[in-house]
Amino acid sequence: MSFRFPFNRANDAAMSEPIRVMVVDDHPVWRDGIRADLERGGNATVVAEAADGGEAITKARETMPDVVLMDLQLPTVKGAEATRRIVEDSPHAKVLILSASGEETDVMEAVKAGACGYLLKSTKTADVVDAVRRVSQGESVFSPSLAGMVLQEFRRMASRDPAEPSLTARENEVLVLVAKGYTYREIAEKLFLSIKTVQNHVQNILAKLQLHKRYELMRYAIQRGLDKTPD
Amino acid sequence: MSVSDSSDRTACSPAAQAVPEYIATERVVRNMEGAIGVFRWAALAWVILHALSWQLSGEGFRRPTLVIAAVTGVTAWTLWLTTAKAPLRGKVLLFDAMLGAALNLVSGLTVQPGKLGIATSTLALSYPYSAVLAAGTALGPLAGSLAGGVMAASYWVAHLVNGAPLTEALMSRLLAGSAGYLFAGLMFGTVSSLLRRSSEEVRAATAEAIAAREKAARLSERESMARQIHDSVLQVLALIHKRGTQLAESQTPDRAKVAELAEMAKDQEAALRGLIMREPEDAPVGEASLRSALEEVAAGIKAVDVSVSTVGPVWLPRGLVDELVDAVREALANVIKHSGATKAAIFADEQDGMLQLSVRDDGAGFVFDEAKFRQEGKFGMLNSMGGRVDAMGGSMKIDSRLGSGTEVEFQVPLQPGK
Repeated sequence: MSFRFPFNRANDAAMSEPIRVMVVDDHPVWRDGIRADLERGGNATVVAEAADGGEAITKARETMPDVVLMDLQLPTVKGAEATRRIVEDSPHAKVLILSASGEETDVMEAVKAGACGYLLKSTKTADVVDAVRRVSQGESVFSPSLAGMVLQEFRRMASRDPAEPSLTARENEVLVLVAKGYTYREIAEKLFLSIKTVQNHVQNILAKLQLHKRYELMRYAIQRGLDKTPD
Repeated sequence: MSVSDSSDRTACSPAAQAVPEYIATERVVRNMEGAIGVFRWAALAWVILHALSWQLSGEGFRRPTLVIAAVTGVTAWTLWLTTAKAPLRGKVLLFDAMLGAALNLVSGLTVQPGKLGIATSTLALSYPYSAVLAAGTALGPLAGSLAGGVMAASYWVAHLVNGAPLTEALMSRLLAGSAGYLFAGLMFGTVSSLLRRSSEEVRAATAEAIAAREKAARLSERESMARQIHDSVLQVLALIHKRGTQLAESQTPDRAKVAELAEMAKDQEAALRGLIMREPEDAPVGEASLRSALEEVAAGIKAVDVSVSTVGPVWLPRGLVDELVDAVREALANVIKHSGATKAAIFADEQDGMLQLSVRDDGAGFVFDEAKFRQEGKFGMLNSMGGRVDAMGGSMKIDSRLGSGTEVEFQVPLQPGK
């Protein structure tokens, strides 16, 4: 048995309804390609397409997709900001970032804004389809390099302000194993946990990261006196 | 000669150590200190010769034993200062000043009453100046003026003790003497402190210049690499365009050729992405980013898909980065040769003075059987990897399970405050 990055194809739960996906990318050729891949491979239909962030936000509100596949480099509204707005408007929509460069700051911004994970655009089709399925089921798609980035982000946060939400020892352990390339199953075996527990840990880690963003915004608001309600 | 050691001024940044050891202004300060030493001996020689000639030919001294004691004491002190190369600091300067003042007082006590200062009728002559100059040069204008003040005061007291009548001539001599002491201390102090400050500025400026030059060199190196990559990306894109069109137009497209184009595109993508993710320009001096180095290794390996995940850029001394990269290359070679893996993941994290570096693959895994390994010739590589890590002061751990891949983990302690 060979291991794979956390794209667990072995667990093929057949969904009765196809997953409703919105594809957001400013390259039409790319959008067509993804649409073809999704519809061929994976029990998913593309219910909407958008070529920029603003359009994405509008169409998300209109069509209520389950999963949003979003490129980071977009005209008008950038991917990270669009993510935040979509997550706010339609909390059930899971945003999966597709990035060409994997540029750290962009990815971290998007994840903090509420994205469920990110993939490089060069990821194999089968893995993309699988990621869409997993994200629609509420999992987060954590690649090893994302795990490394998240570890660094928590360290940075801790050194800046010890009051910020930090990782528990167990969460740190899990994250390091993800960064080393273990699948959730292998992590579960290694740490004598159930796979569900491992997934929960990952979810909690993401939640803490996104909480930090909210702290940031709140602090900013307090500084500017924006939290004062008019008398 | 007593020369103060100005190299005990520590250079804080490594770049400053690259600055030349001798800066012109520092050399001048050293020369000043040397000159004061010469002056001291000259003054002492004059004290001795004068005292001898005075005693033998002139009026002579009261309390000759006191004279001999004083002269002996001062000679011993001067000898000690020179041979012990005592640094002119703190207690040494204090004692020097006390001695100079005492010598003045002894002058007052031993010269015939009322005759002090008249027609070189004195014992101390110029020797007390050496303490004033030394204090000024070592500690600056304030200390110099203070020492000058002390010496001037002792000069006045000596005259009091001597009982000379306070004529106008005497007053003007006293004032001139005092001014001399004060001025000498102030001037030497000012000059030496200016020189010291100037040499510090030169040091700092040179260190900055060196750092800036290194940064520029790195930037230009990065730019030339970027140009190369841009060039090869453009070429491959053009090729894809051309061949792609041809293939699209042909009746029976050659699958191998299409796959080849895809492969070329993949390589260029990796190269360009590596360029984007490369570290920002401000690397600490003498250090390299382990992440960048690992990414370079990963990009160069075709047999397996290698991914790199680190917590931050991981800045380490350049030499250590090279050694770690060598160890990782060996681990990867192992993976390619023996494990049948398709993917490998490299992870690096630096925390609490320890570097954790691991290489994980999705291959067949193995059971460690030394005899079998030796037979199959695998032991050598394990040994040499272990040896490398040992040489870095670290440890290696291998965790492998049949059918679920292998993880090779290195733990290397890092120098505190590296």
